[in-house]
Amino acid sequence: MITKYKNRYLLIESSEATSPMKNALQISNAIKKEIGEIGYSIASPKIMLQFNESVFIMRVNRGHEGDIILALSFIKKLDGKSIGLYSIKVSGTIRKLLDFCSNAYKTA
Amino acid sequence: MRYADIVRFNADDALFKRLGFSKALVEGTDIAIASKMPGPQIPSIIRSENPGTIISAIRESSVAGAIFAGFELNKNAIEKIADSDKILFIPASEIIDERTDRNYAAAKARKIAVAAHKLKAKVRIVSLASSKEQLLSRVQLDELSRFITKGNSIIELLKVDEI
Repeated sequence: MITKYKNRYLLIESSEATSPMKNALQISNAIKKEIGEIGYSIASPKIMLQFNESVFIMRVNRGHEGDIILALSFIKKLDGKSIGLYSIKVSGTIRKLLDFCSNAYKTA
Repeated sequence: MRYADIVRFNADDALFKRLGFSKALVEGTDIAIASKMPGPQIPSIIRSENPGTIISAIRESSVAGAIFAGFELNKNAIEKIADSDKILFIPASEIIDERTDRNYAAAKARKIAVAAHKLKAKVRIVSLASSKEQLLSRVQLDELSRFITKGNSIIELLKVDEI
């Protein structure tokens, strides 16, 4: 019987504008460097959508979001630039994260 | 539960709210981090490699807690911190720093946390970030504390009313 793969969605904000969809490979390589190939394939992180230049949503296999959150804490350089990646929120649905984003990132 | 963080630079309050903190204590404005006996003006944290300095400073009422510079363990100092009901701080920025050996720093921090837990001292993790790149969210500090203590919840986040 095929089991359903359950996911969690992480809302991630970066300290600088990173264009996460363009730099997805670099972010993946940085995560792979921290948690290894095996950890990466078990967690299977994938950037789902970009809210703005510095905020994006990443999908992770349920139960392994802690590894990805920790890996993001250790990533301090991306594309040669100093950067901070903050895991703001974890949710089971993208909708909840988008609702949070529209409240938290309101432009004046 | 309302959590606080201690940082070394001024940043946007809205950023700290998004990171999951009710309050950010800025060094120099809200809190002082001193290597010698601090003044009584604002709450302060004593940070030193010398356990004698920590033991003598921790008795002051204005001192909220201590940081062991270089994560050097000293059980006498931890006992004094526990007796005076002060806080032992673990700076997260010194563990995640690229220039340090993270596993070694985490192992040393773990030894301190375990010793403090056995002596019933309060241990709290704070980011002590000098720049935006070193900042961590509440969720990340939680994961880091679990990483340091191998899954045990010995190190907690700093609560707003503790300082």
